[in-house]
Amino acid sequence: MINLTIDGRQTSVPEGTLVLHAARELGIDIPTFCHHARLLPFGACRMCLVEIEKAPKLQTACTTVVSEGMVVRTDTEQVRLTRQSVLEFLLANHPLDCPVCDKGGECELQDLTHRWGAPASQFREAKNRKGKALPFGPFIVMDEERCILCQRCVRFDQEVLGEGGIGLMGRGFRTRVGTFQGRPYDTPFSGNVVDLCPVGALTSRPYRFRARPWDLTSVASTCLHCSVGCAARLDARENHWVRLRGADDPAVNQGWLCDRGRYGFGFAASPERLTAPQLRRGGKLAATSWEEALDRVVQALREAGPDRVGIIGGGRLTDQEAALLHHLGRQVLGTAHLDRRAGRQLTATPHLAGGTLEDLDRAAHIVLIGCDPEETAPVLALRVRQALRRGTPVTELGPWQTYGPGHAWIPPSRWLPAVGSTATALAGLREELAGQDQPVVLVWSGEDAAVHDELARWRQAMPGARLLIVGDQPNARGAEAAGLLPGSGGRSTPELLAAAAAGDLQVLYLVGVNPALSFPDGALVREALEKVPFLVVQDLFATESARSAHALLPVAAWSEKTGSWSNLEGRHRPLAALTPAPENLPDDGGIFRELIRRLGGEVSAPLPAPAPPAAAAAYPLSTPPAAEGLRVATVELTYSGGGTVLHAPALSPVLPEAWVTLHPEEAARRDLAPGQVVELSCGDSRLTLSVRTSAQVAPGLALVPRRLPHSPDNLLTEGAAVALTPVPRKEVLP
Amino acid sequence: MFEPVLTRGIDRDLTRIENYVAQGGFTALTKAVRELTPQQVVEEVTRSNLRGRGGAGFPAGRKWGFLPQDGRPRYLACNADEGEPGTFKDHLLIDRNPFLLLEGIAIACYAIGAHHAFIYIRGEFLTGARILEASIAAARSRGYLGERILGGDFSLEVTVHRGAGSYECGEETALLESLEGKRGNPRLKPPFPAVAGAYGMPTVINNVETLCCVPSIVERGAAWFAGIGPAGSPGPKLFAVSGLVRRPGNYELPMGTTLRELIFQHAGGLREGRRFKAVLPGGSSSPALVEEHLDTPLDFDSVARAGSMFGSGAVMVLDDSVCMVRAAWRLAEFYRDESCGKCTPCREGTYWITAVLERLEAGGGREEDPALLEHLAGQIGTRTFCPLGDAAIGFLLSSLKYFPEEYAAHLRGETCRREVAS
Amino acid sequence: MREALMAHARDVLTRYPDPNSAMLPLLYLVQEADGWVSPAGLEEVASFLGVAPAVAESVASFYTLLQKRPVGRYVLQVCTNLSCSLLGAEHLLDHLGRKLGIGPGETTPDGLFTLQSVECLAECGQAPVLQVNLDFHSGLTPEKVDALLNALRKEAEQDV
Repeated sequence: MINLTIDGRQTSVPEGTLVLHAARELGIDIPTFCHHARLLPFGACRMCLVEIEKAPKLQTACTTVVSEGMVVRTDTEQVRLTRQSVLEFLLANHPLDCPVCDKGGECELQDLTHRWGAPASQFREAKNRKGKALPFGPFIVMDEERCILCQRCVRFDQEVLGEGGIGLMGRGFRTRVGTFQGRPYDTPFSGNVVDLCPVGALTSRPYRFRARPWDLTSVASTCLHCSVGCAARLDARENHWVRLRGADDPAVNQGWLCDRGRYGFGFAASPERLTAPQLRRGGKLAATSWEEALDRVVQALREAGPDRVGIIGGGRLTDQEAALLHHLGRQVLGTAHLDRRAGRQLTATPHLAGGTLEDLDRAAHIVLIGCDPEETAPVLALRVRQALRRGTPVTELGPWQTYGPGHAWIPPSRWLPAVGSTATALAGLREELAGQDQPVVLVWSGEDAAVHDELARWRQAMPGARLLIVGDQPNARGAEAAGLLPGSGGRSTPELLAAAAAGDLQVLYLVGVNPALSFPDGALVREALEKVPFLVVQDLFATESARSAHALLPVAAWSEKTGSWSNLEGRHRPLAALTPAPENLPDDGGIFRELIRRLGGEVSAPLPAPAPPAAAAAYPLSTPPAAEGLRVATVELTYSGGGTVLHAPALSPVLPEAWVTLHPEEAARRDLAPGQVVELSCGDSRLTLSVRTSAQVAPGLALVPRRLPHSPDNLLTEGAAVALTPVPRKEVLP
Repeated sequence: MFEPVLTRGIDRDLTRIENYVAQGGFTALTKAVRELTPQQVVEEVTRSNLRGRGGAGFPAGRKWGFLPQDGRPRYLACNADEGEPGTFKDHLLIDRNPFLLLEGIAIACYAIGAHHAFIYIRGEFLTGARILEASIAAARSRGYLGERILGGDFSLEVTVHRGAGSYECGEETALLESLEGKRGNPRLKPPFPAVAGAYGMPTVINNVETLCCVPSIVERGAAWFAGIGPAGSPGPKLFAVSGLVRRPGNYELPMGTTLRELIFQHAGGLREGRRFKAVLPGGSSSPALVEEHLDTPLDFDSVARAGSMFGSGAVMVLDDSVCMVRAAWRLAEFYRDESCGKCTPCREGTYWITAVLERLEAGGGREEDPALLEHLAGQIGTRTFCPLGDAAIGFLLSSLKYFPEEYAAHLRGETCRREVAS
Repeated sequence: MREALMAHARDVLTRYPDPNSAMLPLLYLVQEADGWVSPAGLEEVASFLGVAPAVAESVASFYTLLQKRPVGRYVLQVCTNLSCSLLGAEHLLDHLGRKLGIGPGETTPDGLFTLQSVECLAECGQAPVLQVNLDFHSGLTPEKVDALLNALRKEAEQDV
């Protein structure tokens, strides 16, 4: 410990502590602009200059490390005048357009001027003019005149993202923050620079001119878009959700968010939201009362009997709702046919020591298995990026490479039989890494039964290894813990769909899932949904799976309910209601309670805890033998999906087009150029796609994005041979 | 009688290696690598009390001794980014005595255990960069650089790295950033370059003239060098005299030569009918001195005592035709344009000061302007990230101090001549 | 990186412990080939070094010798810092501007001359000075400047 004195008060802090933090611990606030807890010490704004005995001049508290016997003064006339002058300098060329600035009311420049500033400015000269309201990417607007050049945004880009997409342009008083030639700031994490900006230079388009901060009501909650569970602050104005910002949970997101999470909130206010229950009458869905809708569903469930009922879904529920659904299914309906899974993922619960996000920071080796965290768990990927920068070896197993070139990539997979399966490659890696430093942290998509079985061997061979499974639904792990998996003798999702298609199922109840888009066997799921005599769909939107529904039950969104859920680490994440649901819609739990009540069950007592799943329940997906020639592989994207993503207006500029990515050699062999439009045919199915090329896709593969509503990948059979035919460009008439 | 060291034989085309060798060039390097241990070279240079000629005056030997002995590669960066207005001494050494510089670099690298040196030369010195490239090739072919120098174990690569137009890159950490291919913004210290400099490795940064002093110290001994000029800052020095004197140019004289001797004896004094007004003794960053200071010896300590700084030893002489306000404005503009923009007081303060001076100069002065300028300068000084802030206010403050009547005249609307000097 | 510059670019890389140090030399290389550092040139350098193009632009924008706009065949850079101004540099700059019909920062319509006012060129002993494409011309007077312009015009004509 180091002893020092600040403003006459003695304190003792660990070696390496910054004077700024030592002072804050004593409750002595030293104002700062460029300093940020998640960025490296910088010392550029000079707001935090303090007196330190024996130092010939003032020192920046945000960069000076304490030393034994140090005597610091923050309360002198010289320090006060310096703060006043730094503010005077910052305001000299500032436009002072606070009345029309979104930041007004929560602006650090405003706040510190209020506290430390001079009563009047001595600046009488012409202001230094810069760019106003410049587009800075799809979500952000830049006002260069408001910028105080603290460089938090640039440092975030360099230190956290490692991208270099923004930088300082020009120098001296002409310096500004910019992108290459003013092009859009192209990163999936762009919105963080808005959170970081201490002034109104970088503002979010969806929030611009929507609210004054003092009119907002806020809740601390979490983002429920993926299984990472980033801490977030949600703001509403007059019950209208207007903003979502990152909050700093050190163990989870450290303040960062991806743009998908930050700007995807518009779905809650979408006019497409279902607001009334609907029942099918005369072949058509029509609005009805809750009374009638629930009666009809109860009737159908009763008539079917436990063995001819199936429930799919649960990974978008809170843990409490998942427990209610489990109770409804297992106890009240008495069925074992429950499965939260609706896609390719067979488990979201680690079967060897579960990892934490922080394990990635201390990993000796990171192994990504069939998983692109940049797309499916973006904020987790930021920790992988940091690990890469530290030099942590990262090995990727899968049909494409995310982090390359220059990092280990083992492209084998079941798509490339010549090299062996992913499981075989993983077994090889197990032997290679067994004696080496731990922890090895495995990040897995939860897909491929052979990988599951191989991983079981890691438990013995490498007890130090840690597994993180990126859930394909945000609360996949909580749903599994709540028992939303087939019980003994119960049918899994593929079996339920097969039964429905074969006429062996009476009622299929879909809870917040859209298997029509997510289930890999598109033909089977379409047939099942068509044939099942009574299909109940409980969701926010009329999804592809709801087209043939007999009962459609709208629910509250996650921003409209309170509870908790479990992220991919199994960590509890709170949800807090920001706004009431439209039309007083019940949340999922409310519907489950009502069904339980109507079915004669009880929910007042604590619900019995489900038996923890001993092993991942079987998930029999059919895997066709690998074909010769070009084969289909699919990849999940951040913006895949047909639900909330599609109905958030702010996201529309970044929604992916339908593409097929080929290794450059494959493209060259077929005389295809990037941007060219092709028809991809696989069996009887055809998709029209635009060609991309990447050396980070294994040769022999046609990589197609998953779950695009306008181009459903599940019309194709993964691993099957495909043909590509160029679509001739229509002649443009003069 | 003082004999020149840095400019000895400079009229005999020393860009030809045979001419340099003929007058005893490379004997110091030969002596160092064959007869002395690196430690002995460091000690010799330390004893000589050679102080850095770039401006800060830090003892070179001590700088060399700071490097941690931890087995990491270490580098020497020669600061040839001569950008301080009024300074043109390194330009002369590079163009006309390049092998002296290379010999100094080689000895320094031998002493500190560096095997790669970089000469960071300002981009405007294209000719100088070409001369250095050719000289490196010539020295290599004769075994003075490259693998196994003079047949011994010591090897050294020298890379000439051209700057691209930035005064700030003369600041040592900004220089390192620029060497690494980045913007010339200064780095946070600590860590100091001696611990984590170029490429994160221990690095010594020495000015051209400093390194040019090294061969003579090795050859003739520390005592000889320390005996030239004042004990506190000894040695030969190139004084670059510019401005309104009869014979501007570089003069190699002992440290401690007085301003009066330099200006009136060597540089020929003022031009016909002109009177002495002020002098910037150490480049544009140094506060001006006036008539009463003319007997100040030019060395680090004496000039500091007189209230200015010795800096690079560039002496800019102003006569009675000079408008001090316009001169201050011209320099303010320079610092405004060369400010890297990283820290608030420098970026905003130099803009503000320039605007006020421009307005004053144009006849739009306000009564409070002199006080405002003093206030702004006071809030820039010592508060900026790097020394550029202090450099930007030195002349301004001295002009306010010694020539308040010129500001007053501008405020009265007595129109200025609209030229720095007539 | 275009083929013609590739060999030189690779050679530059060998001079440094870290490839990023090649940034300024490569920007110079592009400028020598194109006369200026165009956005395409920035992208070329960035992709050669494996960095984002904004990084190259950010670096280039810091340095005044890297021309961010096309310039004339002869770039006249007149020092107007104190030592030169004491000896008439301001007058000289005005004189050049009048002769060429352009202001500082501008290029003559025939693309022959770009006039720039620059800071100290470290040739103060022979002030006032200017550089023509980084070649020094010192001890200037209006007459010497006129002669210089004539010589450059003649040189340009002979090359046509």
